[in-house]
Amino acid sequence: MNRTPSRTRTVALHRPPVAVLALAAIAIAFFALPFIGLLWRVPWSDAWSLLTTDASLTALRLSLETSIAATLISVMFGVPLAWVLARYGFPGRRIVRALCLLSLVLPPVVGGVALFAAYGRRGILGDALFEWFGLRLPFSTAGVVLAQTFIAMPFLVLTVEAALRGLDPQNENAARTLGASRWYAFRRVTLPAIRPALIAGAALAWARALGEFGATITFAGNLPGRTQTMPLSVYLALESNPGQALVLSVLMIGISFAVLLGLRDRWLGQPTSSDRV
Amino acid sequence: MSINAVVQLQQGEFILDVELTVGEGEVLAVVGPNGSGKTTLLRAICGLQPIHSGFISLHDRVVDNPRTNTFVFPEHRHSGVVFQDNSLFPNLSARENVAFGLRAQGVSRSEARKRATEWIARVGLADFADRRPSQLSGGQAQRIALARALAIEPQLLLLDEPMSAFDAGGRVEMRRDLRAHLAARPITTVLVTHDPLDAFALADRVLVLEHGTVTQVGSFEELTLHPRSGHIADMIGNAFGQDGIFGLALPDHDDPDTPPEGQIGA
Repeated sequence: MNRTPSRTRTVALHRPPVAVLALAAIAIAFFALPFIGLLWRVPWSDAWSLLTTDASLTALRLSLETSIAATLISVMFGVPLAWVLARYGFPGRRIVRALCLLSLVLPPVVGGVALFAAYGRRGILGDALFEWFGLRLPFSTAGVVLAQTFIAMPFLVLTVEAALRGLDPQNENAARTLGASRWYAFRRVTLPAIRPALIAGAALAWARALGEFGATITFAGNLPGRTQTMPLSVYLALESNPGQALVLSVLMIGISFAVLLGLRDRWLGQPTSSDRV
Repeated sequence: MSINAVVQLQQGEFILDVELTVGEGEVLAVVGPNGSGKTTLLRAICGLQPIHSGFISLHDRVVDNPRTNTFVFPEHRHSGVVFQDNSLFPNLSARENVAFGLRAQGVSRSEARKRATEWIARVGLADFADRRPSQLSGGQAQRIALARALAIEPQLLLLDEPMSAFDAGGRVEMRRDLRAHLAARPITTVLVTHDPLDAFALADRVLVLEHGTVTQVGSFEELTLHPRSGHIADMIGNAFGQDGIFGLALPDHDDPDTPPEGQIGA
């Protein structure tokens, strides 16, 4: 009798029941079909020329510039915000957190309207900004960055705050007893420990900023070269030049998909705790 | 007086109320069962846990006094701490860990590196300087943690269960090394341990903490001859009574409710 256990034997011990598998398969198809449809409809023979038209390239460049700027601003302000929310117990913290994360669940158009109320010509700050600095945010590239930051920063705050909360404060404590100031300990001990979360949060924020549509078109309008980002030009091209809309859509999907895949394999797949043995 | 303190604080139901003095260069062992407040006391001294009433004075400088609203941050207390879980920075090599305190205090990179290398050699791990903490054994990591605490040349050394990461053999060795380190450069030391052998081998005086209060302070001989609580008698009986062999680490036995065989007094 052969007593060597077979390695190829698979038993459906932990496999979900067939009904669950079937429903999951439908869900997968639901997500996959639109993208397959898109790929199928794209006029591949003209793809390159459609992608390299002046209008496309301008929108692409503007999108990259504004979304990267929005990401940098999100990191600059979002990390301190996450730090405060995670570590500093002040009264009303829950309300402040909800306020800062509101734009996650808000329809972006509403976000754009709210931005108008604040920074628009007759907004509470808009007037002052123009009088003191000659700054007009609505319908400007800076306004695009503002709208994208407003929508994208909560993704970073949420991710970094969760990481900070999950962090054992013991290493920071050790750093303090060794003579490190709060700032030094944060920079040399805490930041390296939350780096995967920071990168993931920044990547999510960037992808969100790149895809921002509602707040941007509401607050910054749709001016080619100044405020017309990729999603806006896709929307516009849909009427005048469907082929271009399809090509741009595929490009954006490719970028987003790459971000998600990269996140999983590079950062999300390696929890910080693994090297803290 | 190196440490002069009345530490009073409450954490939930638990109340810590300890009066404590440690002389210049003295080694005080704080022993007691788990949950007696040993670690909390240490955290209060090094500034990681503010006290609620009382005061803490280190080298005649008041570092914590709620009444006068005095609180000196841990980074300004000049205390080298070795934590129970070693708390080495996982992203830094052993050498960078040891150099960390010096760098934080503004020592140049090359100087910090040089001194860190010396300290790692002193704890016998010269060959391991470039390893990450995850590539060190528990005992090695604890030695690096000791080197890291000593490298900042602290005025005060606080050790929280420094032997806990060692097996029986390593514990004896570490105890001997620690003794040599403390003899080489006398430094006021508070050693938290639940193992009376540590106290016996290293301490000038022993403070016994039970349920947040001090049940006895004195030399190890005094504790042995006149144990003032059942726990103390059990503890000493447990450590020395079973085989009567000094220096042999025995299984940890903290529970005063199950008296060991070689019980004295009580």
